[in-house]
Amino acid sequence: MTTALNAETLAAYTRARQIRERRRKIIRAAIGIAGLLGVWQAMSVYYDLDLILPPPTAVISDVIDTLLLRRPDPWLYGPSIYQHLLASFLRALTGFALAAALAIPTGLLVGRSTAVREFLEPVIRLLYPIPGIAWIPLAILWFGLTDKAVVFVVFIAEFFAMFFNTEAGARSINPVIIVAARCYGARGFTLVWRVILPASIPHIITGMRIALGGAWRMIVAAEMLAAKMGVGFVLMQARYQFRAADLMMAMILISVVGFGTEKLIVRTLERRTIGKWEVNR
Amino acid sequence: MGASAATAPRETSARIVIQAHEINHAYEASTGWSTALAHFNLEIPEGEFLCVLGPSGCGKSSFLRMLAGLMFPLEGSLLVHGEKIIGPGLDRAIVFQEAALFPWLTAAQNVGFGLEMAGWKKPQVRERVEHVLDIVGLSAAAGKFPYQLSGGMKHRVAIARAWAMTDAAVLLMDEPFSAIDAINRAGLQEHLVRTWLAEPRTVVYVTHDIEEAIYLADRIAIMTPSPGRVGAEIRIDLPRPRDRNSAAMAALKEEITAKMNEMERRA
Repeated sequence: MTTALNAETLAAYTRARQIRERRRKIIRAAIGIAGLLGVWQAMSVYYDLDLILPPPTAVISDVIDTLLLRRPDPWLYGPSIYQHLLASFLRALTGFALAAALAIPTGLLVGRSTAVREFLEPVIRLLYPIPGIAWIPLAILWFGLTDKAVVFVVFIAEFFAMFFNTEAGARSINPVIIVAARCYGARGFTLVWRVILPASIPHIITGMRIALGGAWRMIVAAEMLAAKMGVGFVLMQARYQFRAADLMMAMILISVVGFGTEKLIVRTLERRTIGKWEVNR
Repeated sequence: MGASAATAPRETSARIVIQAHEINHAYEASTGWSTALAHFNLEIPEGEFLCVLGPSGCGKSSFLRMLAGLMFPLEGSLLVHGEKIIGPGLDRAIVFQEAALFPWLTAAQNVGFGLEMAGWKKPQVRERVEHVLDIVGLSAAAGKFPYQLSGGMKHRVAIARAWAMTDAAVLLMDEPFSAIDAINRAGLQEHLVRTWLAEPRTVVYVTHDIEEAIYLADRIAIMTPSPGRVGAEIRIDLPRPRDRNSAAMAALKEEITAKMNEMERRA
């Protein structure tokens, strides 16, 4: 029995490589971010733009004060920042979930059934070029300045990303997989649920990733026009009050929450599905 | 190998499982109609390992797809236990040229898929899956996903998936090892023979490889070049597992090659 390169040694090599790679990534990311902050700071100071481009130091301390709820200057935006963020988050998630609930089954059916495709594809292709923000006035007309209007706009805007990706996934399934499933007795709903859906998961997750980012983007646009609460509302108010630091504070929080949401929802889903059964994930 | 020599349990009065009668088939391609099968007749008794041997394009795969219920003969009849095939069904299990495993299921779950579809209870499925994985020598890989298996192991899982189907009257194999390299192919053939000896089933095995057919089959149905029909039948009475290098195998290979060449000439 040879003991060269036993499992433990190899595992140690893997760990060492992973640590190396992680450290490298963190260092490079830090350099990139520091570069952005440096340019920002230099511009702000050099051109004396305090009023419209406050330096990162000011904005970051504004973020911290806001998050710790201990701002020296008055808070002009009603409820606390957490309530605004939560309101936005729930709207984005609701719109996203509704869009997923409709887009994924529709995508699977359109991808697999010629009849469904021929009925639905023209309709969807006609609606697709209308940008999400173009729906905002109509949504306000229908639902007023309410949560529903914002959720509706997110729903409309994010449907397409998930639909087109799901459809592409369903359509590109290796035909022999479907034939095997049919030969081993899967039909109708069982075939969709047990075979077509899992086979399309990689594409569906791509669609969800795009749609979730899009939902968060769209929420801010919709809230700027159609809400009395939420980060979009904070942004708009900060502009009316001419408070650039608050404006940028809200933008930073949008970035952080969007980043965190993507990690939380999509990565979790990914780990629990294709992470298990696909190579190199 | 110390295993006692075994041959197919053959009774002259064995029940006929598959009956193909006067099948004519053609398909419409962009260049017009193309005949695949003409006057195709074949009967397969229970428990027989039948190889359908023929050159590329002779329609042997068409015949297998008809048996699977994936396509239908234009003329003639094709019966399983006296009943017309109307589509894919759990009374037939199939092994494809690709392993065609479901990537999101473990080896065990892949093998149990058909049983689950057939409405088996979970404990029975588990028991049967364990048994079949043991036969193909993959018990240790039960919990692995397809990407974690080698090409040969994937094919053994595919064979186990078919073998698991106890209610299947016939197992259909469509050139299952033709895309595998020669060394691994020989190993897979040995596995298949061992599996068949452990649990004999009626098998229809389509191949274009003469040696493979001689190594595996109780009987070889040799097809003529297109349009295909059964041009000759050869019974292989050698005990299993067979010695690939024996004089008997060589003689059979020569005989079959001669027959196929003659068919080629006449076509």
